[in-house]
Amino acid sequence: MSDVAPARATLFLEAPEPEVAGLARSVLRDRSVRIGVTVVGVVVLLAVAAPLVAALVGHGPTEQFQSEALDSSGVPIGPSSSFWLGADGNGRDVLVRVLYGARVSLLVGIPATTIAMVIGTLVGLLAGFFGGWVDQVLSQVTDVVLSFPFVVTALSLVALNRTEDGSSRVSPVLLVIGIVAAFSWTYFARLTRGLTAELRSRPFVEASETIGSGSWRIIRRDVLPNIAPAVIVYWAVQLPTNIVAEATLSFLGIGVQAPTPSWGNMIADAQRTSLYQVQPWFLIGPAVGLVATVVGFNAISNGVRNVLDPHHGTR
Amino acid sequence: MLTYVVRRIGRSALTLLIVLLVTFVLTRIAYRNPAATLAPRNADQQVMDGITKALRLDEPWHLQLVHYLLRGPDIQGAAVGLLHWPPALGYSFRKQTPVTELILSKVPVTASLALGAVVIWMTFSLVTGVLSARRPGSVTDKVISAVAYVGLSLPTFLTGILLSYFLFFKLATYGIRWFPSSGYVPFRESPFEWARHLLLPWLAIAIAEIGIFQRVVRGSMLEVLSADYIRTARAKGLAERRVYFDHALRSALNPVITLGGLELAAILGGAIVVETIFGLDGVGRLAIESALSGDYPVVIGTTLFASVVFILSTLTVDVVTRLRDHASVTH
Amino acid sequence: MSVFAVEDLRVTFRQRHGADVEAVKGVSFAVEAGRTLAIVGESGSGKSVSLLAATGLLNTAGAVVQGRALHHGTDLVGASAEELRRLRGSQIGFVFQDPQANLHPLKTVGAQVAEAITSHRREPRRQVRARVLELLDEVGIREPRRRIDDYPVQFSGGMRQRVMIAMALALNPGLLIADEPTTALDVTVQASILDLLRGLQRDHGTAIIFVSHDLAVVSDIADDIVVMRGGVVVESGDADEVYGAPAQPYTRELLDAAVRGPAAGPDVEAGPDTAGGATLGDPLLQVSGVGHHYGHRRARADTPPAVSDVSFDLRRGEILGLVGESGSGKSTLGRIVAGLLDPSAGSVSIDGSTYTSTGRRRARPRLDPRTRGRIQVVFQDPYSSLNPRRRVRDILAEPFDLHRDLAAQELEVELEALVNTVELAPSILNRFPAHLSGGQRQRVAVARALALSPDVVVADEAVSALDITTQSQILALIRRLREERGISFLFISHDLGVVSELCDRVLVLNGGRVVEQGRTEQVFSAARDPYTRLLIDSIPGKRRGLVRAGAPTGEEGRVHV
Repeated sequence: MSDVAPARATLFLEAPEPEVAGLARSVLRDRSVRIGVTVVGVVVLLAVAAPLVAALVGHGPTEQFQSEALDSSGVPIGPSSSFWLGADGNGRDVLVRVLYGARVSLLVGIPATTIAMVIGTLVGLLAGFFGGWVDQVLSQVTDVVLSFPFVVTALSLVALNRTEDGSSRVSPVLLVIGIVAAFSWTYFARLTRGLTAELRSRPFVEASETIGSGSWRIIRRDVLPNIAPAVIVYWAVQLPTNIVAEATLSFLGIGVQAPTPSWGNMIADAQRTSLYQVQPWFLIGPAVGLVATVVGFNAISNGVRNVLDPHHGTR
Repeated sequence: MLTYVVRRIGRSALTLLIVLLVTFVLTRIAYRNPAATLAPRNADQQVMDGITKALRLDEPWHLQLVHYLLRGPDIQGAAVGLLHWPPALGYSFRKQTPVTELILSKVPVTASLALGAVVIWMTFSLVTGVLSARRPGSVTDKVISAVAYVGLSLPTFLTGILLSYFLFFKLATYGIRWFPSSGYVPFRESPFEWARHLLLPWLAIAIAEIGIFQRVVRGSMLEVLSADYIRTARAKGLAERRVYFDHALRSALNPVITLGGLELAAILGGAIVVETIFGLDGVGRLAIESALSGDYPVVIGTTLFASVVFILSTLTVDVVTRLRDHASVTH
Repeated sequence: MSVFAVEDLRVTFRQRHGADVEAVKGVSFAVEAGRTLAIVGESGSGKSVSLLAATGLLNTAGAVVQGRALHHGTDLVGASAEELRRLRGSQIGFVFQDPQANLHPLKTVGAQVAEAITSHRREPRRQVRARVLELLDEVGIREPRRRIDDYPVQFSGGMRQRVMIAMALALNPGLLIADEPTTALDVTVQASILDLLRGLQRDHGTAIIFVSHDLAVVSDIADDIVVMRGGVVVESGDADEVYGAPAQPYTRELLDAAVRGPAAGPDVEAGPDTAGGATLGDPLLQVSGVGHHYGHRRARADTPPAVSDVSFDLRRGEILGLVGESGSGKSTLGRIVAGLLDPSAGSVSIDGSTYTSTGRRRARPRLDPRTRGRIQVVFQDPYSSLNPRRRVRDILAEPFDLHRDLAAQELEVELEALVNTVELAPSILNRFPAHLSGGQRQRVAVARALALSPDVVVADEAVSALDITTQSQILALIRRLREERGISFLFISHDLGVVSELCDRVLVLNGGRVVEQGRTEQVFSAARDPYTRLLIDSIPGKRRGLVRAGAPTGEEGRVHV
């Protein structure tokens, strides 16, 4: 797992444009952002179009075509006119499954990261702004969550989710969203806590106090607008990390469960059966999907950071 | 400084206690038929009754916790009790081994894995990071950054599969067997074989980390290089090599150390994946196997082990950065 | 031949987006051995850039340097990096502005001075160390043997600057470039650093280029003057001529702004008895026995208090100066008076009602809304005292939103009146702070403080971050507000010149205690306390009569005329 903690919290106070519209414009001018937006756009488009493609080729994501797609010894066929990326070990269409896998990745990654952002920002704001015992308690909670081994605890939770007869109490997808969110809010909390504590001592916050603003008003008007860009950038940093986290859990067999297609469990399938050595698309399909999505989002967050914080960039 | 360390250790102990509490409660809730889950495959009723009695599974969970913490009766000759010396983490009835012994027997593999990976990723990211920061925007910088970028975007499990496919499977089809696909040879038996068996797993972990750290080193170096005291160093007529590797790197290391501690602390996650792919019999494999099979004493044990690793490495990092700052910020 | 001569130097910054910026547009000057050339200009005048460019230290991508920079006849523009490196440190020594930022925080001072030697010569370790000790001793660091292995953080600002000087002079270079070497320092320290430089020049015959924004500071040391503005030389010549009869209006303006001492304007001559209709002498704010101790209760025994037992009155319509060097406790005191910090002892009251509390140690004191509105603050740094994400309109509307229920139209009227008061155009309301100059920002900060019609404004180093011409404009604004609205100011500053010009009364703080207080003219002409006298003697510019009458002219034997 490569959950990157914010190495250094940056307040984008010296951003070239204080206005949102102007900022958006200069962000969209950045080359890295443009590449990222294009890649992510294609991924989203394909995810949306997945049922369309499935209807077009006539293969559902979990339908097995053992007679057409497997040869006599049970080895899946490679790319052909009806199976564009070939089939997997169960005779399912790899292309259709890869496209449906994009849906799962985004449907897990985006809500999980957003939930983590909301919780983490709230915790960090309270800890950083009020300090004292509030900070002590919240920091202790953050420490505890951080020191749990992610995968092992996720496994316990998955086990907990299984009922006697083997079915699940809550949908595995929801559980994965919950697990990923539960383990990634801490990074947002650390980030916002640091930024808030720094803002807290800025003269403009003190100036608000001297004209009689209350704590909540200061948080709403002075703190939040100033940490928002950093938090949003960090959302874009954390999203690919969380998509990888979902894929890793699914790869280990504790995330999204077969037969629901997910890039992680498809790659696990390919690796476990070693069938990718004869039908490489079985592995390449989901791998390209995963890497493209991660690269796309990384390019966006990287570019946005360059625009907001010119000292960090290449120029 | 001493007060700080003592306070910090106190907080760590509290963290560990809460982790234990949560894991303990989670696993106790997860029990359906506890004795049957814990027992070996074809155990009879007598064995199950023995387990129930030994772990006091018929009592409320908080009494079980007290029993887990304080010394209870020995189970098949193995001591129980975390607060007992040496601390005992319980007994795996499935494997018929005390958990502490089980984990300790796997530590060398995971430690070798972690150590080698850290050495590789730190060396590469420091060198490439400094090279990149030397001329931001140059061809060197662009190439290094692009490669780091790809590394950063590759999930560890994918890197592992690709490495084993190309460097093991593909090479093997040409008759070249440089790297074995799996297995572990203890360092004491043959250092060369040890390294040869671990090289691919090391790379699998290190590649993503180099991607992350190269960028951190580069960013940190760029920031430091614009500091006034770097201009002072140049104004003294210091050679550029000394400006970069002595003056700038010295200051640029702080975020690297901080992030390094965090990544090292979380290395068990990567170890689980890599040990699975390369068939290494380490703590990560133990953790995932026990969790999948419901061997809860081992689950609690490995969770606590991971937490202790995390807490120790963050503690070390905090103290080290604090000592470094001590020289420069307070007195 | 001059030691160093710059001829028609041009520096252009290539921008990736937009037009190129020409920062230096054909500048020439020269300095001879044993003489001091002062280059004076406000920020952005190109004074530092031209020197850095001439010596190859300009570390900005896209900077293009043209022209000639002759060091003993050798052109440095276009010289190889290695040639420049060999010259720097051995032939040309540098001292920069902020010694805290310019010393490596993680290396001992001894190692840093030693590097100045070892980067040019191979010498045995012990010999280097002996030379470092000698140098530290020469620049006036006491007990060098004990201090040589200390880190910069263990030194005071002045001591750090001495270390910088030791580093610059390690190989006894023929040229010393000092870029604002005293700007970040306290006034008494500044005087001692200037003394040190003069002494070293006398002993070694070094040529010095001294860059400063302040004509007063360089007046005591310069032999020749170059005045720069907007990348060009406005005026240059012999120091006597420039100070005696400045040819250019801009030089005269700078010179006027640099003149220190109680202003001879009629308003102050009339005496501080009437101002803004309110009768002076009516105590408005009373500070009695205030003390403050930072840190935990246990640590308090070891650390001296930041402020102890301070008492004074602030009268209606009065401008009271609070003067002290760094660490004197003046800012702590200001925060206590502003209601941003609770004192550990004593109390502050306005019109007899106390608003501070010494009981529970609160993170932030909570003042009742009425009192809150009566005491306002203007902070030092106008760049960080305005929320960068809000328009001026929103920043200024905030106090009205909180305290008064106004209709949109009424609010608009109030806002326009407010910006009018601080002499800004109403169009500024729609702008973000990032689009304003430093002076405009500080006016907005003043406007915000005025919105609630306060009785007292605490101005904490309110003009210290501003250019000298902007400074005088803000001072005039403060004076006008006192006249027109009868507002009392607690004016906190380290700059005695500014205080003596503006304030009716002065309070001198040293080590958290009041060492002297009284009418400004009285304190400046006949200080009783030795520390106050030292402070006043350190005001630069006496040699050329830049300090107005009222300030003492005695004790000048220290400054060789």
